[in-house]
Amino acid sequence: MRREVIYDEVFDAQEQFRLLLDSMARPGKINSMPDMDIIPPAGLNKASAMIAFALLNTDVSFYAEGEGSDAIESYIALNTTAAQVGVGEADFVFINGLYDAGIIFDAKTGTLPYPEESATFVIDVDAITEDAGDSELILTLKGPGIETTKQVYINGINPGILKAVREQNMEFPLGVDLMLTDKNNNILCIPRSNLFEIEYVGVEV
Amino acid sequence: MVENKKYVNKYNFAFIDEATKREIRRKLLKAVAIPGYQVPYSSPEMPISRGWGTGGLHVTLSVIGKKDVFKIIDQGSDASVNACNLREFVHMMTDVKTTFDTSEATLIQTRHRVTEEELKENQIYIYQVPQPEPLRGVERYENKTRQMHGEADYAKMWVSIYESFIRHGDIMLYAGYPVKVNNRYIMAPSPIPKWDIPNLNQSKALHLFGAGREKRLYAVPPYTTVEPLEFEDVKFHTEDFTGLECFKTGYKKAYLDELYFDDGTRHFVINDSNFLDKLMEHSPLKQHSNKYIDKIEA
Repeated sequence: MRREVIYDEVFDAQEQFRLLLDSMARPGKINSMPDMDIIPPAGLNKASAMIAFALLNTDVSFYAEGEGSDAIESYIALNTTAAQVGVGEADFVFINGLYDAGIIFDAKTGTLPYPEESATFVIDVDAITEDAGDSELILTLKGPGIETTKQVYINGINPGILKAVREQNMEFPLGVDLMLTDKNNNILCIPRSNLFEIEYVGVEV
Repeated sequence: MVENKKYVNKYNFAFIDEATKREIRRKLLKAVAIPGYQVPYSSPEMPISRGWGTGGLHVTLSVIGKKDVFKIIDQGSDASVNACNLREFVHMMTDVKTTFDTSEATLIQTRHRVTEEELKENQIYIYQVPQPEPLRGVERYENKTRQMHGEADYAKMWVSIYESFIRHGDIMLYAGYPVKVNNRYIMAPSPIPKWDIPNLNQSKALHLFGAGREKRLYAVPPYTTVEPLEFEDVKFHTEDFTGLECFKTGYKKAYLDELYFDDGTRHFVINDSNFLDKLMEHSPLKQHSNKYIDKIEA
């Protein structure tokens, strides 16, 4: 398993956190993570690895599921020293966008007095773009951080996941927050305060 | 010999250790995701006392990077003692560029004012908050206020505002007037004057709040609805400066400070020092616009 020695925990982490903060504050804004010379195991986008490096340490826990999740878990554990736990306790959950949506309901959503004790999902998709192209899924976002509405186009995501997230976030402030990453290091965040609509290849979901 | 690069500096970049920075960063992300909700955090020791701006410093030092341009104000002024000391500290610990110019800054830390100049999308506005709990005046126990926030049970707050109006003929709340964020959480907007509160509504910048002594972080994302508490028939209003003007510029549309000269005469001057400088230099300037300010003639 590879130890990413080139990652600078001071300046790389700061730069990437600022991009994440900007994305979280402005849902629908696509930010690009810098292209770093790291080699995550198959099934984990570079940008997802960078999110792990920027935010995780020994104080938090994480969980990964899906194809190649054993390699992903040991890679993240080695490079961040975060604790490996079950999905029900994890602060960060790493999954692939095409994975089964049921896992969304297994993650913690916080309690009413402490809604921040909830999971953040880091989801790998194929592409996140601002122009339609031949995209499978149109996401229309609305809520804090967006002046009116914002549209983004995503390839390689199971619409069931987004549907499950919407259901799970119904009872705001309880819920989960999403960070989506694609193969070109783009990131997109969807905080639980956001109300979004999904259209999947012409079908309202 | 191998050159030691790791320990050439006496302090870590931005003073705080990386583990604590990561903790604050994770909590800031949650704070942004739940607008107006107070996230508890570690509030590590700083070289200044808790209650002197440590919360603002924690936030600033956790988000700041080499490319940032930093501005800090205390009661609107770049030259107040709290601002000068914290500016020097942040500069020593990070070596970032500092500025007085509001439009040039990417990070603005503040004690008790929002700048008169309109904020931009690339700016993060950071508040030093002494008392983050808006409900503390009506409920003394933290576990109860947490529950009230959780259930959006704000009846006590509304009753206290109603009683204030019945007793005194006005809502007797001044700096730190409670607001409702995103139609959900009631939030204490740090003690900024009522004048500044409408400028939080649908702001272009991200607003982060740090209360060091009380160990709480919270946030208002850009383009978020922030409404002061008011009744249908009793409305929120900003400070009234009718008939007064800045003695240096004659400007009437800004928050004013009262000054007494040695001869006992009373004068008023614009509180925001950079705004005053720019007005006097006739530099290009775009002020915040809201329905309260827009009614006043310059």
